[in-house]
Amino acid sequence: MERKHIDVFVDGLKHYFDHLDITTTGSKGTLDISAPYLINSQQKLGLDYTGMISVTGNRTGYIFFSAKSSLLRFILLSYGESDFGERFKSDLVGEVANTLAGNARKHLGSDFHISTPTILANGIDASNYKLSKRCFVLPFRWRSNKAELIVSI
Amino acid sequence: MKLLIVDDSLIIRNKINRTLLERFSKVLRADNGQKALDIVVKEQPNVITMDLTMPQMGGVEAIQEIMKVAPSTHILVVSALADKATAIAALTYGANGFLCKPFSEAELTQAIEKILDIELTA
Repeated sequence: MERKHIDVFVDGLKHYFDHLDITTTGSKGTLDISAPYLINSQQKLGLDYTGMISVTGNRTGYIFFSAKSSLLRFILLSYGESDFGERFKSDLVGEVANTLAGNARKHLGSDFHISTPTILANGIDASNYKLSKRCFVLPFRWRSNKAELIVSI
Repeated sequence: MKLLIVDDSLIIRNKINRTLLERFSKVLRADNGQKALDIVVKEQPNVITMDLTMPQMGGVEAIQEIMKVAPSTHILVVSALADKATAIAALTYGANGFLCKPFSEAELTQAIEKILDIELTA
């Protein structure tokens, strides 16, 4: 994982949140992306809802999008949804993970193959995944609500 | 005109439905390529929005199968796969246009208008 690859996912996040419809949320909302950091094996990963994409092809590993329930509620609002239940939040984290991983192919190539999303409850049990030694977490907040993108490829 | 929305995400199906509902006489939905193919045979939609990464049968395979049974169907691929090779492959197999996720309602409407070569009115 090189610096330029981190930039691919930072740009992907900005692009995603730039495209959210503000009709129902009133204003664009601020996206605050903090400095990425490498994880250690003891670290607890994941927030309320997590969407996981498996990567194969020219790279192997995982991409996780994990978010607090409050952030997902705002995104659902921007999609015009009024149901903020489990089904919709789970669907949303999977769709965001898919979108961020899929958009990365523009830079990582069409041999960067991604799976359909898997939804994880109660955080990420790192022992279930062979995470890269250069696995990084990109923490961010949107409208002050916490989320993180975890990339292990 | 009939529209078929194919995407494994409920919120994306809902967003496309909300954007285009008033512009089509009937809107149908499927969450994978196989269900889409079954609906195409039965309902013969004029326009399809097609995701690519889906369980059971993905979008590229579905497009190829749909082209065998309903070659005049207009297909707009709506996918997160943002590389040129994927877009070119989808168009080669029979899709008429490609819209990358995330997308706005205006971008979706314009993309549908472009593949139909008409202006949609609500």
